[in-house]
Amino acid sequence: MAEVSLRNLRKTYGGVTAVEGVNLDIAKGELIVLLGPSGCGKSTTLRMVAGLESISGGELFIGGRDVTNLEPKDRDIAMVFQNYALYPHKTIRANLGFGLKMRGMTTADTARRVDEVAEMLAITHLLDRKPRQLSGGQMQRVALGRALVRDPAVFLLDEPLSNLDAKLRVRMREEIALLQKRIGKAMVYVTHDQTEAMTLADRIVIMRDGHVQQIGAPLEVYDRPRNVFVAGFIGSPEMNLFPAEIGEGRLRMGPSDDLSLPVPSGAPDGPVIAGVRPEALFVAGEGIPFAVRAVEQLGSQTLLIGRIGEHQLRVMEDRRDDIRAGDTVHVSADPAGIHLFDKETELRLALSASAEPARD
Amino acid sequence: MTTASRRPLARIGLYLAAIAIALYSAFPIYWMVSSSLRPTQEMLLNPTLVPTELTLQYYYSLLAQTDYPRQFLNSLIVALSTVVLTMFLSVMIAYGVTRQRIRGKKAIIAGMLYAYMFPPLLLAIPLYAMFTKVGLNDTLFSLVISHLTMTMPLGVWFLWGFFKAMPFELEEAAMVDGCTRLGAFLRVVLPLSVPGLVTVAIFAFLLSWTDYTFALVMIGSDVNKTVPLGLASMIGAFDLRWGDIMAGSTLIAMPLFIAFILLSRYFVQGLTAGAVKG
Repeated sequence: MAEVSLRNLRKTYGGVTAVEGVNLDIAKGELIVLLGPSGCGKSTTLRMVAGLESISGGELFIGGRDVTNLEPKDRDIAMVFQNYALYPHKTIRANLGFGLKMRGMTTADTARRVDEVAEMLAITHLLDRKPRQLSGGQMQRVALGRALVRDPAVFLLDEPLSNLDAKLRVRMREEIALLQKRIGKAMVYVTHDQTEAMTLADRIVIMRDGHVQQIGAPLEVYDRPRNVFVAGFIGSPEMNLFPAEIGEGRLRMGPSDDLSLPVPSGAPDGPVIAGVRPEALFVAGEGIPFAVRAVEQLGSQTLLIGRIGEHQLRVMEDRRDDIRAGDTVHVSADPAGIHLFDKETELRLALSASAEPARD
Repeated sequence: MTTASRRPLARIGLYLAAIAIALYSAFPIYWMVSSSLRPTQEMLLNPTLVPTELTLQYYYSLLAQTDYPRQFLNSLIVALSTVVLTMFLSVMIAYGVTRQRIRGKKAIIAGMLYAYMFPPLLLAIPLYAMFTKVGLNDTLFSLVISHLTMTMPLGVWFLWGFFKAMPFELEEAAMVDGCTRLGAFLRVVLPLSVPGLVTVAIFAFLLSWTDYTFALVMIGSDVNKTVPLGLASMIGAFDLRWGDIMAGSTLIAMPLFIAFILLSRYFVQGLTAGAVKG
């Protein structure tokens, strides 16, 4: 049975709809990432689950109980805030123990639990300090610890890593993933960073303008984006998206015949929006002429930025050092790596199953 | 700091200026205290910088022969009531306008500041008329209410800045941790606001304790006079007892000194915290 169930959850402010009908079942031990650009409603959704925003419509169940109209304190949740929100006037020990104390746990039990969690997060030596004496990474650990001690049904994390520098962010991301597997509780994680979403999530919920765009496992949304928005949002570097025309079994990018790519079988003729990931394009002996305008060395890979006709495209190659800005090379694509979307609705076009990339 | 330590001359100049300013502000206070302690002869004819002979005769006569103790008590009642009401009301209003979606909250805040800009006398006369209508004229309570017109805008304005700078997530974290809204406010917001609360309390006390204008308009009878009013009435046409006045003034200043000494740490914190947003 689902640990957390969102049934048609809605949020409106006055006449403005911030979140429109989110449906989601989260299993025990599952890590769900809410992903989207700022203002898409992902934080609002999380805050509705937390009880920090009232729910305008729909129902919310946590651990089988209807908690739609309950206070945050009665929902069996714990939350980690973007700015950590540690109580500045309390020691780390008191910060960690506060929630337990509020729930009437005895002093001895609280101390034991705080020590356990502090050890798990390697912050035992910080217990008697105040939050302002801690570094960003340490505060992040304490914030996680404050959620962990409570042992709730679901953990809610609102962009927990966005105040950390890049290196620390990657390390904490790994730690959160390991921790979550170890404690085996449901977790809802909000971020605007698609890399975080891809690396952490069991399932990603991609949102835009208050609407859920797609829900799926990381590789599922990567391989089969349901619409143009998801296609552009998931993946780094971004997917190349451009208007094109399908005819005579080719995908035409421009007026002249040589600007065309092979097309997946089963694609209907007519105007489409085409999407090709940079890694699905490759430099070949023959293909479309590609005017390289910039070369970015990423270490193990090389990113070429250039133009085909009037479209700017990116091509990801394995590491190579023989192409310079200003060169013209020829590129081609694997037909299976080409995504086609309806020009009007921007939805993914249905193709015959054989042409789809394998799912696992 | 670092530039000053690298250039000793600038540092010396800074110290000299600070000392000059300190002397300039402290001397009248010193003179008031020393005058209250020296005999009349010496004070009027031949005042030296340091009194040669000390006496407590003014304090005796002030406390034993005048209404001063009664007035002191009146002042204390009014000032403390003003402080309590100011704290209670301005905390609620300031918290409300920072944390709730209230229609026209900008107008509330602006209106508060606007009211603060009126000279007390302009408010005192219509207020007096109103108090007379409801039968509150010449009471200490009427004085408390009129003092609130000065202290409340200040308190709300100040605490508004204070609460605004405090991240809302702290309360949300407390609510997730098991507090009610009120519990989060009492356990997290208030303890963190102590510097601001102390500052507002001191200012409210100061304004009420030293007020002369409102007391002059509101209070008629001798029993209800406050200290500033009583002291002023000592300055008669034929009789001017400087010693008693200085002793009275010293006693007026005493609670303020004590409050500042005890609470100066919070007070300075509060001033900077309210002024500079984190």
